[in-house]
Amino acid sequence: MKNALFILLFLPFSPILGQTPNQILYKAHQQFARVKSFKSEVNIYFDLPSVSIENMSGKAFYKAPSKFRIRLKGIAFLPRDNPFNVYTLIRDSSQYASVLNGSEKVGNELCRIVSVIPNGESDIVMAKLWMGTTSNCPLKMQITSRESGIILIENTYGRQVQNALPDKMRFTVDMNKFKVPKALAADINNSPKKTAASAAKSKGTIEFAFTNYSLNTAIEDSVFKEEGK
Amino acid sequence: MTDHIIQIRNLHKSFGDFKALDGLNLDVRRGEIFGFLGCNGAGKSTTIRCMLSLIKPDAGEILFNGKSTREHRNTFLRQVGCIIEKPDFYTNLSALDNLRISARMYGMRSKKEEILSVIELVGLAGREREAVKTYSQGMKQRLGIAQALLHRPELIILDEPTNGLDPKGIIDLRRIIQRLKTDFQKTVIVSSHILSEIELIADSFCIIDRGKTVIQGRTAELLSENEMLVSVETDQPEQMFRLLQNAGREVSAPASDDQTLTIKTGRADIPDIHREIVRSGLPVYGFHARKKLEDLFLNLTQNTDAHAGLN
Amino acid sequence: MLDLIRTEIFKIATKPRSYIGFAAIFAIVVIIQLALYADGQAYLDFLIQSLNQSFEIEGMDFNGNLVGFIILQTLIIQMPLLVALVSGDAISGEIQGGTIRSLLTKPVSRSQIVWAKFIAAELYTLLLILWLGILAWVVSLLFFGPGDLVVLKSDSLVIVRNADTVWRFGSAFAVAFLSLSVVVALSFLLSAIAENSIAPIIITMSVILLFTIIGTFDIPVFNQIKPFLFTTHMIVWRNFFDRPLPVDQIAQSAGIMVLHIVMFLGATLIYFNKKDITQ
Repeated sequence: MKNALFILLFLPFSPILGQTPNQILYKAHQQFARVKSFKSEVNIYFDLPSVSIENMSGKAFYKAPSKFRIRLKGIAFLPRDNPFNVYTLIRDSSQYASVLNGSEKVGNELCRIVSVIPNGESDIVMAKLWMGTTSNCPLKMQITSRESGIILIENTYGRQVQNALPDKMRFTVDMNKFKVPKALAADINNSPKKTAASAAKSKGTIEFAFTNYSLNTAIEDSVFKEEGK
Repeated sequence: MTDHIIQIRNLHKSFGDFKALDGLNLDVRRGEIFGFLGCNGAGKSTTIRCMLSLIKPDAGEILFNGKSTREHRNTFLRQVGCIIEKPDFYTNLSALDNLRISARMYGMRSKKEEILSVIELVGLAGREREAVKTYSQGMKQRLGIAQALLHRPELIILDEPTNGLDPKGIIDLRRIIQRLKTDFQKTVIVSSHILSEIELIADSFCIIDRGKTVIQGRTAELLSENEMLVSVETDQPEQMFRLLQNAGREVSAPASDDQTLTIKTGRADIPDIHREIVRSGLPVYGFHARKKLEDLFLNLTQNTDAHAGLN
Repeated sequence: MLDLIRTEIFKIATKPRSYIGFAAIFAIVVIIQLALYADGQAYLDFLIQSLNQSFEIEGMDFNGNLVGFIILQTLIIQMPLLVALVSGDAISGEIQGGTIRSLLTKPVSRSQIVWAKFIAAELYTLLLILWLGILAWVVSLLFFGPGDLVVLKSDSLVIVRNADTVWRFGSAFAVAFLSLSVVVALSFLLSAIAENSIAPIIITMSVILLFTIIGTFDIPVFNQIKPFLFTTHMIVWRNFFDRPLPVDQIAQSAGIMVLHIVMFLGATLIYFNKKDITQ
């Protein structure tokens, strides 16, 4: 019922942009479908309001259809969900309902905004995708999931654009207020310095910068287990 | 080099309104045992502490071999060994360790044999490895002397060394002090309020009262042997008094309940007095001859003003 | 001077009270380590649960670095007492025991004696800090393993990489040593004034307690005086676990602590040189 209402509301706008949202999504899927697996170097940059953490580097592993891990040494704050889950969702058009929500420029590229709602059981409740008209890849994704709430992913593409693999993925995450009992805190006698910026800031960003993609090589399943994501 | 090892000139020290030293003068000759006498609170300890730079005098000068001890503090302290009031040690340590610490403070790399020889000198051999807390007061006093001697000083200063000692300890200490002079040619300054001790060992002495020197000189000169006191204890004092008076002796009349008579006489006459009393057949329970330091001390310290200028 | 220092070290080494600090640190550290071994991970997970809702947190294991940090944070409150037990006794103990008379009639200046005692007390403090470092950090590393350090602040987290912990812990221990040196210098001054060894220890702890209480209250009048209290700067070791490293703040606090040491030690030297030993 919810999906039907959604389609009824947004369907009239689709023909205006020339392509149906399913076609747009299919193109992206086709590009990404070439990737059976990949591994790459990844540099991770953190900008989290209540967490001071140095940038890190590690290795990223992907194996179709939905295994993704970043392996690194030490403590890291990573997005809870697999950022390539969207491709799993749009793999089969019968599994979702999509609708065009207009156009918007992201960077220099014009994008069509496609909203996707899964039909069946999925952790993703809704995905709003800014699909590049030139690259045919999602330049921006706003994913609402059951477990992680709303997460915004901004992708920048480079040499691997034909495979829909981004050079950079920037995640913007809603952060809960972090509080440690004063008796246990390390700044017991220092009044915490609250700046206007830090008090207002409740969103954190994590950026993955991928380099040295190596596509379609054999990757053991064990890589996706144990530590790392 | 001057004949005097220590010279004190016009020493003043006050603690608030209390004048502990009030222009004290003192001379100690090299190689003698010097008795330093005074009542409690007369200023003996303050004088000694001023000498050893434990207390800073307000005015005056202390000379060691003619040089100011203030200007040549370390040179002076290197030549002095002392016990002040009672020797205190790190009681959890052994005598050997205490002496090692002391030696190190003098910059001496004392060999164990050297330390042991001093320990033997004061009669503590065999006990040197025991913690000082197990020592009696007498043993501590001996150890104090060992510590004072360890660096071979010219001058030994002993402030009230007999405090807390039993009679045997006092006798032992007296012997050690005499040996320091005779066997080791040390100058020894002994402060005490026990007059008989000083009388027995001191070559010279000085009496101070209320921070001032009231008399100073050689014992032989100050306590002439022509003026001694003989005490006779008897249960028939009246008869004894008459006997001695009839014999021409200068005897004090006995008080009503006093059974002791005192005869003023020269040392040479004492055997005759003894003979006269024995011949009389009167019962005698005590016969004691003494020099008159006690009288001198009492006279001088009870009426200081009358004797001012004696030194 | 070297002989004098050796003598003072020997005196400290032969006093039973010198070992109280080592025993106390051992007992406290072992107790904390056992407690954290049992419940440490659960404790950490509880503290970061709000962040767990937003992120997948990787590698947040309860490790030796974190244990070391927690112990250091806990024990730093007790350390001044353990240090004052020895340094507060340095001069007053000699006065109380009567050995001051013998000590000051040796051919060394009073200033040399104060310096030798201060250096010996500093060496003792250094040993105590090293002991704490070995037990709290090195043993924890062996027992719990290495890893990135999570520094829990009241409203934020600082993640210190494992490779960075050596110099940060090293510097923190060095600055902690500097802060304890302020305690040594203060108790030295009190030790020179007092005639018994209990008073300097109690007064030192009372001063630290009072200043710490003033530092805890966020009251305008207290805030005016806080920058001048040495206790405000004694916790500067924690800044070595902050990012970016507050170099200016560390340098300022270290400077103020050095100033306190110079002040206390200078006062000790002046007072002790003028002191009449009448006991």
